[in-house]
Amino acid sequence: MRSKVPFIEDDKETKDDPHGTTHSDESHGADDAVHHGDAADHSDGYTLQEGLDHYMHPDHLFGHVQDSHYFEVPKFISSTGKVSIPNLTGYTKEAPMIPGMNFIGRPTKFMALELLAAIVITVAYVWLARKVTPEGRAPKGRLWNFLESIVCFIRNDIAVPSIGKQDADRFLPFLLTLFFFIIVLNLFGMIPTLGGATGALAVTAVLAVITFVIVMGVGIKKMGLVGFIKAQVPTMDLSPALAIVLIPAIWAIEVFGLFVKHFVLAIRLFANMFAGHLVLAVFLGFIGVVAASLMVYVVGPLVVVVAVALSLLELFVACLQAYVFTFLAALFIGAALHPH
Amino acid sequence: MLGSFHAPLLILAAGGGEADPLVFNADLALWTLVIFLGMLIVLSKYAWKPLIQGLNNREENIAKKIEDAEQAHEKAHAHLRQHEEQLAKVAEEAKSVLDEAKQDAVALKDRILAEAQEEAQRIRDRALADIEAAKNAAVRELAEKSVDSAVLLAGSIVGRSLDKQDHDKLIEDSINSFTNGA
Repeated sequence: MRSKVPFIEDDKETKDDPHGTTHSDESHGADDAVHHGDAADHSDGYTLQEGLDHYMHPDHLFGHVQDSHYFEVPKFISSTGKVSIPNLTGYTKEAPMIPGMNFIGRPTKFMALELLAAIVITVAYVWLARKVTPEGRAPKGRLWNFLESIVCFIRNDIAVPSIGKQDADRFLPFLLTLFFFIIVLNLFGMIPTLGGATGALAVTAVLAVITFVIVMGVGIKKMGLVGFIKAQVPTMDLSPALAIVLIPAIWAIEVFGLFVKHFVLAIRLFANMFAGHLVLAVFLGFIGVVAASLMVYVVGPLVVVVAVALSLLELFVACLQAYVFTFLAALFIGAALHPH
Repeated sequence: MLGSFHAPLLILAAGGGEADPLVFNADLALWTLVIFLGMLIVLSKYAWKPLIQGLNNREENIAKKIEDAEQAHEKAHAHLRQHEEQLAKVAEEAKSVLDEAKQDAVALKDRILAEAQEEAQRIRDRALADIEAAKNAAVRELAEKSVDSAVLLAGSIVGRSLDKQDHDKLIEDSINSFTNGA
């Protein structure tokens, strides 16, 4: 029941005319991730309207932000502006690994970035852990102190206040993994040629589902299945007649809220990252729109300034959203442990 | 099936093309799950657990060190106080010893002075007594000599020697008259 390709296929585009060298320098410098080989090949001939139709088209804009089978690189590295990820699974649209299913397809950019993030985080923190253990002597050097201070921050400012001192350390591994996974993926999104994997709903949804499972698990383990279900309704002094109406209604709202909370958790991170990158793509697209006219000499520098400012904002948002996701996950766990 | 699908409620106007911000790629989701759980397991074992253990140990160490330092400070303070007290006591003692010595010295001085005065008095008294005695002796001797001479003279004048009894009686009388007359 494969309804749609999850991202823009590059098969057609990579076969296109490889002489595309006409992208303006400004967009090269500011954010290579916004290049789109297909567009660059023809921008010489674009009128303003054609430029608008092309560069401001959702396919074009989303194409830079969404997952793909290639990394976008400057054209002096690859004439197509793309470096394809090897099709390790041998998947093609015509011959999926499991017939009739688009499951286990080709490795994508975001998969590669997640793997890279996992490796970076693991190397950094296993290394740090070896320096710290076992007597707890302090690591020397800026990098190690910096890495350690983040752990202390998650612990002292997120886990302990939300979950409570005696239970915080039990959930700290999850919260730390969550925070570092998100923040590293967010920051990867700010590096040209890489991409923002947290701008994909599949990624944030899985993180939210894992959080949801943990929250449910914590609540059920603490109060039992029935107890946890009951605990969704705050205790109220109601007359029996009122209670029979109100309590199921409140229970339904609370349970609905429980689902919504975690759903929003996924949407918040996804939307923030996706929108941020999309706005950058739109602004940098302006250069493409006016590339053929003299206006590019005014629009170009302006767009670069705006793109730099937006990128700085994005850096902040990348950190903020990692913090918010982790903090809310901790709050939900805390709420499941200590209801009402 | 499990392929890429849309959450039906979430589809926004995406321009009708293939681009769709809300696309849910099941591959990516599965991969994310695997990566995340893998990270969670590996990091928990090799990074977070030792790190948290280390942090706890460090916290304990620091707390212990602070406590030790506070105790040491307390002890040092007590020592200082003790020493100061001792010093004050010693100073007081020294002062009292000095005072006593002064008093003793004054007393000694007074005593020596008194004794010396007494001694001087005594020496003077004895000297006076000696002088008196010497004077008396001299007077007596003179009287005796005078009487003897007078008797001798008188005898020769009288021509007869007075016998011993007359002689003594005469001496006695003359001395008496001499002493009485004197």
